[in-house]
Amino acid sequence: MSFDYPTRAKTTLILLIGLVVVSDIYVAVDREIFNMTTDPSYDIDVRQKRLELIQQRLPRRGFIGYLGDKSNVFENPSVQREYYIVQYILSPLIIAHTASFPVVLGNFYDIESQLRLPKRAGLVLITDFGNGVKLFRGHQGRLASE
Amino acid sequence: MLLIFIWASTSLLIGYLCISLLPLSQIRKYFYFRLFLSIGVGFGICSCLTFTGAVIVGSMTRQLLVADAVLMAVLVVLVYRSKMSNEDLIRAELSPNSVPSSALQPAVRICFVAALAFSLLVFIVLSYKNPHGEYDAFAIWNLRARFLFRGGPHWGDAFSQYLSWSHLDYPLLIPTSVARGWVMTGNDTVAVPVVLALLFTFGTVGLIVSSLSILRVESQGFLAGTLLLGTPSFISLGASQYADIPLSFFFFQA
Repeated sequence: MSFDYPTRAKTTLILLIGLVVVSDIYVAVDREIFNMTTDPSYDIDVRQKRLELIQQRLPRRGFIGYLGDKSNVFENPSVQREYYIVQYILSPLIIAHTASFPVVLGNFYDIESQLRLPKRAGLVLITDFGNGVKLFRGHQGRLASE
Repeated sequence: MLLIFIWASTSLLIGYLCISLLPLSQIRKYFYFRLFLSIGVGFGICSCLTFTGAVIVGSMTRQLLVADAVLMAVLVVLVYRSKMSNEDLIRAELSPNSVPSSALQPAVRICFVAALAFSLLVFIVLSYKNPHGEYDAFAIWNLRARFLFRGGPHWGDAFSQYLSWSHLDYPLLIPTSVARGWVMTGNDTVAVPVVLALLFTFGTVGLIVSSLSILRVESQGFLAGTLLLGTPSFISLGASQYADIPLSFFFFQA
């Protein structure tokens, strides 16, 4: 059997195209691309609704503190992601990743954390918006706007 | 939708006109190559213009779009004048690549079209499921774009020390391009970053296909395009609105 240039070119082409098809199918199946149901915990629009009430109470611009399910938001990837989403939704209001602010936004999913962490940070509840979204009065060390 | 089209086409037109002014007369013949090249050039120039305008005017308002119109008018005049003086040069160009077309060419072309259609479908589905983009998009690029657009005269808040985790030193091409689109549409619709991501993703493919078609043969261009479209993370990164795709576009453009 002769394996001349046209045959080699055709074989390579078929292999390359096969590779493309296999990788496309693999990605589509592995990442469930065509599964149209989205995970609500990853949906930004769901969070936007969750924060709607507190957004109306907060100034459009300024600085406030933040407290999530961990005292340090960068300690846990999901808490960190949650903080980034809150900042994205509430911008141009700046959400500092610390509870040492006169006004602090509490954003909790874990019941135990929402009872323990504000107490430990010395925060006083102003309003509970439900669903783990709370507004606290914090330390007076820093002004809420600069 | 019309305003998004105007936003994108203004940038593309500015880029296209700038490329037409380049003294590289050989590329003037290749419409598609220039078109794909104009994505990077156009959005690059417009984002610089928007940022400079915001610094001078104090905020990102629709008045900044006057600068786009002025620039476009100047470019049209310059291109018209340069076209008149270079017409002879273009006529004397080399003939297109004289390599004979392969029998495999139609098959490669069909595969490319199929891969392109599938990739477009995947991009649309992913963007529909996740219109705000993935991690980097909402934590860096679109976040900064929101500050630039929503912040009004206080757009400088985008560079607050409290946002240092969002990499304040990162380039502003994507945020200013998105903010410019929002200024034009009047609201921060998710369609603007999605369209920008779409242009850069498929623009990279177009650039590879058109440039290889010029430098080698058409079938090699389509084959390279098919392979790129078949790269698993390429389309998903594009739909996630990550900057890796525009970066790859500029690497390739360079």
